Amino acid sequence: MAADTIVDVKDLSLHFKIDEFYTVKAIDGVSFSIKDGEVFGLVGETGCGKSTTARAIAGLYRPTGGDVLYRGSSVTEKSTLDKMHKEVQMIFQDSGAALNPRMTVEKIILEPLRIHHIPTNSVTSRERLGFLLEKTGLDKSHLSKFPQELSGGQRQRVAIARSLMMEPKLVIADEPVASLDISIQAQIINLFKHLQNEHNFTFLFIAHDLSVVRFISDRVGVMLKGKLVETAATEELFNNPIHPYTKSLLSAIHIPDPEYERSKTFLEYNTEQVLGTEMKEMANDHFVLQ
Amino acid sequence: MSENLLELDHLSVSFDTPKGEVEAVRDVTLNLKKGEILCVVGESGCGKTVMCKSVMKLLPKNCRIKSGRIRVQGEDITDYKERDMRALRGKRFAMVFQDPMTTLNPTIPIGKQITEAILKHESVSKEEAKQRAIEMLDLVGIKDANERFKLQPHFFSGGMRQRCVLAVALASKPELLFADEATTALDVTVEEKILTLLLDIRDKLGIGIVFISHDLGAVARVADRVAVMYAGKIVEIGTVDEIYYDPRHPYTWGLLSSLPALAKKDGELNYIHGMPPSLIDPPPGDAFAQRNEYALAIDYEKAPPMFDISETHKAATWLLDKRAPRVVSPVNLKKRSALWQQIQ
Repeated sequence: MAADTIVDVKDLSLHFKIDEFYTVKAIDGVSFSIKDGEVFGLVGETGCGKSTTARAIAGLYRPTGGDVLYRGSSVTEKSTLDKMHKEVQMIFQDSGAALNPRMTVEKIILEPLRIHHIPTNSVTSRERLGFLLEKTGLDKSHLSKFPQELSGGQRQRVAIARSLMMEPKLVIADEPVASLDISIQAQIINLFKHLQNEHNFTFLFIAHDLSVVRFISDRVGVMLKGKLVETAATEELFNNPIHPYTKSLLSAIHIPDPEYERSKTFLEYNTEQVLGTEMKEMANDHFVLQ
Repeated sequence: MSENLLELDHLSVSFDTPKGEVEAVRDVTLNLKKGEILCVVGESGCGKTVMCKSVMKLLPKNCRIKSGRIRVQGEDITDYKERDMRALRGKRFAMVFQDPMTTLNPTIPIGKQITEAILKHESVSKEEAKQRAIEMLDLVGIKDANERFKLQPHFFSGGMRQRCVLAVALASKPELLFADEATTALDVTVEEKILTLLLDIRDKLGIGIVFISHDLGAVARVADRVAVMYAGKIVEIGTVDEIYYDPRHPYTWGLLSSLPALAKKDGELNYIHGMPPSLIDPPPGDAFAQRNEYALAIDYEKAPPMFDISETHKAATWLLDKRAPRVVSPVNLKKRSALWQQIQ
């Protein structure tokens, strides 16, 4: 394994057994790796296993097959998890549900410190709090407020500030901008880009809006029915898609340009079946299920 | 005038709340022709949904139409009571909502929900109604309609459910369809199919559609005309090409330039600073003035009227006044979109 790989997903499978006869294969033999300091975008339709993959990487699920390695050690081991609790953070889609309604913004942002027994009143902690407020575009007056007093965009900022409190090495964001208005979405994306440039943390970004993923990611993986069908550097994937599902997905993107929209053709793909059985390298670092 | 399917004439709608009066729709004037798709775009809380629901009269009790008229096919329905509305809903106009799971009854088979809509409005036999329902399911692109007729909603995927909702809405042959964020919750590929379906239905049945969305990509796909709403007002209205290629209102500029789809990858996204104003006590003058980097002094005092740019294109901004300084639109969609297509 290369030294600069932070997460290595190896033939990961996660099957949920519903009853004796029926098993949901949420993830089925997925392999990819995330390099240190890169933004990895994961796209796919609802129910394709994006979120499950993210949660498995965060160690929230125990894989039924394969393994996830975080800096070379398996996330199923307690020692790795202990390390990850400090270094890995998650941001969820619905910030309203992710923030405790009975805690003030200040308590919410400082909670990671309390959990890790770091004094919240020390000079460094207060400095870090002020720094994060400034970076996420919040101010001191927000500290005494409760989540329900804030707008959706502000709540998402609080969630981001909280996730950055521990100076994480890896941030997993599961549809962090899906529920926001265009203008607020733009602010949050700028914020991610800015913070990522400055702090150089690794970022796993899950979204179904492909234009957002294209804007923010260095590499993209496309999932379908629990399988990874294609992964490549962002521009390589958007310019030269190979798997028919990726082609179909890209042809479906709606561009805010009426003339383009009128002339485009949508390539249909039957999502009931996944074409291909094996990942093959088609070009440099461009893997396709064939 | 009778060719207009829907006419809103200086419509204002208010909610009475304990904190005071909230004017959710303010002085909205628009019309919709037969076979036309009008898209209404804007941020959450700008009054898009309230506007549509006020036509359907589906608003809560603390809400009233303060002034203005609503005309459907020339018939003034502003003062209609619930009893009169019941005859119109479904037949004249139908509405499709964002979440197909909460719209459909989870315990009743899809087919029955469609026949119910038909039997309510027309005196046809059950057999005929069933036949019609199967045709409707075919129309919205559900295969094996005969078998699927008996299935409950949970057997269907999200996109299929939204198709069923469309089938229910279209079953009673409405002339006007409101689609309130009907594709927002769906995946891009499914969204593309539903939008194509909407265009198809429009061509086949010749109905008028009011499509509410905040996704400017989807709007570009289906719209004939676009209305941009801000804080309860229509700030710009025009044909889809006019709005996308020649926008005049600073708010429209802001919306178009905050889209990641057309942004340069190494740059930052533009965005509109600040938040929409509270509608409980809206500031005097233009509601957008606080967030508008091109705001003039008069914007803080007096709300701009609608200026005509062409026969179809109108915008409410003082920048269009003769005395205003000339500002060039910062959005050059043509150039940026050419960039996108080149790499496609």
